[in-house]
Amino acid sequence: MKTICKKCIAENNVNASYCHKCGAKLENEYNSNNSSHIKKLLIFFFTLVTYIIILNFTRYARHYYTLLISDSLFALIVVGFLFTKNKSVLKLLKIRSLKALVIVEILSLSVVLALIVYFVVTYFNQNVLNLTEKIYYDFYKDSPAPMLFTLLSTALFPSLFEEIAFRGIVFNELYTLTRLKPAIIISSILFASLHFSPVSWIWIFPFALVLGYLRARYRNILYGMIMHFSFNASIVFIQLLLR
Amino acid sequence: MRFISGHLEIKRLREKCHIVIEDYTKCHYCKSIGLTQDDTFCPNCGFPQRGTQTEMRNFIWNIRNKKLLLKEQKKAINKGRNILFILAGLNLLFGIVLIVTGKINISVILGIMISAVIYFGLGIWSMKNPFPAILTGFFIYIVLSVIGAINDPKSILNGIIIKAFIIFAFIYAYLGVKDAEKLEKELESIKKAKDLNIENDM
Repeated sequence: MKTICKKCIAENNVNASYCHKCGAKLENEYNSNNSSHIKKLLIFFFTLVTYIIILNFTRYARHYYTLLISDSLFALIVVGFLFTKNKSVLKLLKIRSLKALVIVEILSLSVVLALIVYFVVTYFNQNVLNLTEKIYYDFYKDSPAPMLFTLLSTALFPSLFEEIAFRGIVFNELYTLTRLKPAIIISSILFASLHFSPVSWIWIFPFALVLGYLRARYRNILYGMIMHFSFNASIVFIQLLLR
Repeated sequence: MRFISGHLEIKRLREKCHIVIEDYTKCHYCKSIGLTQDDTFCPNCGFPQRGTQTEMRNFIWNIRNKKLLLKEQKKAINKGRNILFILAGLNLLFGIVLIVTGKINISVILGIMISAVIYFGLGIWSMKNPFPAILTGFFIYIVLSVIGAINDPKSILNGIIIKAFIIFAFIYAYLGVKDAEKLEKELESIKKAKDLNIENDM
């Protein structure tokens, strides 16, 4: 294997750091242009922050249709970024490489995690923070199909577009800037922090680490989508069963 | 007369710095062995083994400049790390003050304490991985400032100078850390002498 110098087109040994003919630094992983990736990451991050600020100042959570509008807006932002600057994320949506056994494992794990998170968070909210429980279903009870709208807004939309955003776009940009473990950790911190509730970071961050691990292990974000959907849907059903 | 003595001084220095290559198969700078007749530059460090005296001196001068640049970048990284620890300390202090005075509800205090732990963790992480830690610290700082502004819009202007200072410190640290890792690896690889014959066999 030979490395070709981009400056003088001379052939170099694969392990050479510099061209033996012209002395130019040979292209490798540490020599790539990082600025464009950081710029993309910052633009995406600040777009999401702006979106959340606008939502908070417009009191979006009053009606089911405003919630659906906000979900659609988030989806539009993510799809916009996906098709303009991050088409490489599409390669992570490989349906054919999905394995049935892994899906069963992920589904089981997500239900167990949902149960643990639900009971711990409910106990914590009621006994430590003195907060009343928010039933997701209640936000959509005025809609034409409450269960469908609840699952659409709390399970399907987040699982599809949050996964594309954080395990797709953000993860890919970070992976070009740093190594695998930091990419998993930073994308998880960003995912948790952009939920804008510091107390919830305690359970969102570990959950995001699991999703990041799945993305890194299988190079496929569909597993993360399945787990995210199953986890959120489980929370909705547990709330309804135990109310 | 002065000009002549200056000219002689430069000539004397040039003679003193004259680089003599005795063995063309061994790099003069990184001491890598196994260079061939075909290698004008050392494939390990880029030293112009068969170049002119000016080219060789320029190479050494560039490496010195890179070392100085790395020193500056490390200073910036330290400042970024200090900011992370300062933020951790400030959040912890603020949390303790709120607990003692009992002014705000427990969820706010818990949020502040979690932020302190995160900043502290990032400060520790920055010793090993400065780039991701400082970048994450910056993101967290922006998100927490926005949360504060959403909860209390009047608080946007509170401590605006300190907020601006922290953001500038993060940007300064980021600019330093951006290329430091790459530069450090480059300088480290230059330091290590290699047997280029073994590499050719691989």
